[in-house]
Amino acid sequence: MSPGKKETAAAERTTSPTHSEAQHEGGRLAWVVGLGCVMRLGILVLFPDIVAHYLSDRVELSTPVTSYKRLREGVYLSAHQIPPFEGGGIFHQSPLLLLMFSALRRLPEIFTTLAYVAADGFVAVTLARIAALRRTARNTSGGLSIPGEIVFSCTPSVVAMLYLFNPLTLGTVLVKSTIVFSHVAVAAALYAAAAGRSSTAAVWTAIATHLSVYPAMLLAPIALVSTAAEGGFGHLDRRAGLAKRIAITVAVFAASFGAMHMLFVACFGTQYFTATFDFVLRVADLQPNVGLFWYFFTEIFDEFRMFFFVVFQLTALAFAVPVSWRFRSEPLFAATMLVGIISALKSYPSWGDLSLFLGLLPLFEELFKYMQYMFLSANLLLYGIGLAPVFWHLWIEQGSGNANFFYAATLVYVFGQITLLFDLGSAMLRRELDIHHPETRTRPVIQD
Amino acid sequence: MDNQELRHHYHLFPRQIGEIALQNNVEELHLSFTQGNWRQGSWGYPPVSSQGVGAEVFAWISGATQEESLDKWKGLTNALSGVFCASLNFIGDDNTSMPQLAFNTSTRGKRSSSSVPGRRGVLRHGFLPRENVCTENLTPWVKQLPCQAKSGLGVLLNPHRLYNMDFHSMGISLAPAVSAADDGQTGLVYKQHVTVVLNPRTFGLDRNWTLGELMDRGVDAACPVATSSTVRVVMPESETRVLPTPMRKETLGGQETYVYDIQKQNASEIRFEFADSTNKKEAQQRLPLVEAHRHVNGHGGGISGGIETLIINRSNQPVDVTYSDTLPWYLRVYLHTLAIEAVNPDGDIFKQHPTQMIFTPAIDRGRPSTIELAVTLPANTRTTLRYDFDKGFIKYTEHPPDANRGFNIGPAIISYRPDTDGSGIDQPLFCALQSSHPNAYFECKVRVYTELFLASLPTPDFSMPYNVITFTCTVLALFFGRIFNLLTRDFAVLKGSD
Repeated sequence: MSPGKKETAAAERTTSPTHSEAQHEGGRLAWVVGLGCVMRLGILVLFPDIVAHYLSDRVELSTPVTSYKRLREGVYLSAHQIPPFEGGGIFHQSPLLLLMFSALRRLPEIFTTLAYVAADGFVAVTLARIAALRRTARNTSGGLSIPGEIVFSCTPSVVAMLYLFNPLTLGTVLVKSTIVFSHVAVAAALYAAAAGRSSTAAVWTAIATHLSVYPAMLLAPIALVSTAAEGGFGHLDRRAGLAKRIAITVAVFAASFGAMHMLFVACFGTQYFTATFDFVLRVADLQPNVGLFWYFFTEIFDEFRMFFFVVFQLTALAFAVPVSWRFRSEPLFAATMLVGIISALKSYPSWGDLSLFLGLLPLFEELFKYMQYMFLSANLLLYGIGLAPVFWHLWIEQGSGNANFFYAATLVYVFGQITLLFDLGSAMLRRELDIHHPETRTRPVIQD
Repeated sequence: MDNQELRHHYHLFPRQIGEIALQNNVEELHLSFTQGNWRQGSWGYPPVSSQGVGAEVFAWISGATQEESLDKWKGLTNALSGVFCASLNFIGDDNTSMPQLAFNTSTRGKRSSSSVPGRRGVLRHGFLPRENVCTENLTPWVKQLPCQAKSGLGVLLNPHRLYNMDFHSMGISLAPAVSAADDGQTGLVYKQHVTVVLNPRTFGLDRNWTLGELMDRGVDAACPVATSSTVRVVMPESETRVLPTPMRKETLGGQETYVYDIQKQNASEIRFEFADSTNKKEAQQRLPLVEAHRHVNGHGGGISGGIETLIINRSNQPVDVTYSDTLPWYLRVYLHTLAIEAVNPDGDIFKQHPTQMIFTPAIDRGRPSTIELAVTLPANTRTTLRYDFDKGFIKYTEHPPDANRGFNIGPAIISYRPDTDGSGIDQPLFCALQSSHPNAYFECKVRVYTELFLASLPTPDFSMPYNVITFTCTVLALFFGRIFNLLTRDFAVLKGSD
C-alpha cells in the first residue's frame, strides 16, 4: 500500500472557510445548480423528440421499477378505476409516486418536468451541503485529518457540479426515471445523518425504502451516527447509549415505514406490496438492465430459481451491518459504500444508481491518493457504459449479435463497480491506519 | 335437460358432444377451426362469423363457484381436444379470456319475456392461433354427422378438395333454443358448419361445372334419417345459369337463392354455367358494412411496438362496434397510449373516444390482457385504433423450439349489428337464414376477425445456461471475497523494510 505523503507543516491549507469565502461558495453553488437545472429544463422542453427517440427506450436508464412510461400507465389505470397493482404486470412503482403523479397529472405537462428537474437540483444541493458539513468537520475535529497533508478541497459547488453534469445523471433525468426521487430521499437521509439528526434520517430512509427497496440497508450506518453534539462525524467512542440510539433509530424507521404501509394498504390493498417489494426481491420481470440478475434468471433452471434468489439478495443485503460496523468511525463513508453496493447488486440497477455513488465519491477525495486501482475501475466502467448501448443495438435492433454481448458489457460494468468499491474501502482502511498509527505512514503494510 | 331426454335424440344428436356438454355444464358452445384469411373486401359476409385463423373455442359454462366453472372449462377443452384430434388442451389460463362485449348473449333478444331462465354461465374464450387444420380434424367432425360420409351431403366432403382451398373453416356449435311448440322447453340446438372457398381453376374446371365435378364425389341419396336435406345456391350478381330448376326460389337478405331438395334431386348434378362476360376475378359479393385489418407497428427488432387496427365503415350511418383484443401476458399493453382517429373521404380527421372501455390487465404467466372498447364509427370513415406495447422477456424454457419464429398472436374481434336501420334488407345471409327458423334466440351480430401477427421476442442464447451461471457467480464471488477480506483483515507492518 502506498503510504501517505509527508509534507512540510507550512503547506497547511485545510483552514476553515471565512465568512466571505462561504458567501462566494454559496454564490458558486447557486450558479452551478441553476445552470444544471436550466440545462435539463432546456433539453426536456426544446428537444423532447430527440430525447424520446434516443434515450427513452434505453434499458440502461429505465428499468421496470423506474420507467416513466409504466408510471404513466399506472396513473392512467388508477384514474380509470382499474387497479394498477392487480396482476403485477406493468406497474411496480411505489404508491407514493402514484399519488404524487396522480396529483401532477391534473396540472400541465411542464410541472412534471419541473418536478424531475427540481428533484435533481435538490440532490445536488444536498450533496453540496453534506460536503460543506464534512469539510467543516474535517477541519475542526482531529479524527478525520492528518496534519500536514495537502488536500484538493472539494468545495461544495464542485461536488454539485460533478453530480449535475455527470452524463449518467443527465441521462437519468432526461428519461424521467423515477430513481431520482429515491435519490432525493437517500440524499436527504444522508444529510440528516451528517448533521447528527438520526431520527429524521430514519424517516427519510423509510421513504427511500418505499421508493426503491434497497435503501433499507442505509439504516445501519444511520443508526450508528453520533448525535449532533458530537458533530455527527466524530469517533464512535461513546459506547454507552449506543444500543439505545440504535434502538430508537430502528424504531423510528419501523414506525414510519409501517405508517406508510398502512396508508397504502388503505388506498390500494395489499396487492401493492406484492407488486413492489415482492417483485423487486424475486425479479419477476426479466427485462435486461445493467445488472447481473436478468440474464442469470433467464437462464437458470427452474428448480434452483428460489435458491438463487435468496443467494443474490443476501449478497446484496447482508453487508449492511458488517460494512457499517467496520467503518463506524465515519458512518457517512459506510453509507457511501452501501450506496455503491446497492448500485452494483440491486435487482434492477440502472446508470442512475451509479450516478449517486459517483456523486458521493468527491466527498472523500482525501482517499483518492490511497486508491490503487483507479485506472482499472475507470476503464472498466467506461467500457461497460460505452459498450452496453452498442451491444444492445447489435442484439435487439440489428440482430447480428446476441444476448451474450450485452451480458458481457454488464459483467464488465458490475466488475468495475466492485473494483471501485473494494478500492475505496481499502483506501479508507489505510487512511484510518495512517490516522491512528502515525508510525506506519511511510512504511509498507500488508493485510493478513 | 338431462340425459333421459337426450337419449331419445342420440340417433341424430352426436352422443360424444352431448355427453361432453352435459358433463361440463355447457350452456352454449362454439368451436371452429380456420385456415386462410377471409378476404373481406372481395368475398362479402362470411357464412359463419368465425374467421380467426387457428382454433377458437368459446363457451358459457355455469358453475357454483368460479373454480368449478374454471374446472369445467378445462374439462371441456380437454374433452374437445380428444374428440377433434386437435391440441385444444393447450388452452389454459394464459390464453383464456373472458370478454364481455364481443359475443352476443343469446338470451337477450325479443324472446326474453318468456319464462326462460337467464343465462347463469360465464363466457370463456380461448384461441390458439397456431393450430393447423387438416384431415385429422375433419374426420372426427364428419363422424359427428348422423350419416357421416356415407350418404347425404356429407359425401361431398372430400378432403382432397376441401383442403386445396383459399379459405377453410369448420366447426360445431351448441346454442340454447326454445322448442317450436313454445311449451317453454329449452334445449340445445346442435349445428355443424364447414365453410370453404375454392377456386374451380385449381381443379381444371373453367366456367361450366357441376357440384359433383367440383368435389369429385357423387351424392347418390339423401341421408335416410334426415327430415329435410337441401342445397341452397346463392345466386351471384353477375350472369350465371344454375341448372336444373330448383324446387323453389327464395329471397333472403336482398339476395336471390335457389333451394334444391336433395331427397328428390341429385346434389352432384347441380350445374353452374358462368357467362363469358364474367370477369376473371371472383364474382363480387355485396361488401360488408364494416371491414377491419390489424397490423403491428415498430421497427423490426426493437422491444416496443404498436398495434394498429384499421376499421372501415362503408355505410352511410354511424355504426356502433365493439373492439376486443386479447394479447398474451408477454406483450405488455400501455393503455394510456390508446388513440382512435377517424378519417372521412374528405381527409378530415376526428379524434374518437370509446363509449365504453373494459380492460383486464394481464397477470404474468397467469392471464392475458383483454382490451374491449365500444366505439361509434362515423359514417363512411376509416378509423384507426392504435396502442403501444412492449415485448417482454421470457425465461429460456418458455421459448418455443423454433424460438426465432416468434409467437402467433390471435386476432382482434370487431362485432357489430348490421341491420342498423332495422329493415332487414342489408342483412348478411346467415342472419337472414337464422331468422327464418325462429327457434333460437338470435341477435344478428357479425364478428369480423382481423389478421394474426407474429411477435418475435428477443431470445437469450440458448446454449449458455452453465456459462451464464458460472460467470455471474464468479463476479458475485469476487465481490463477496474482496469485501469480506476488507472487513475482516487487519494490517501488519512488513518487517525488515525499515
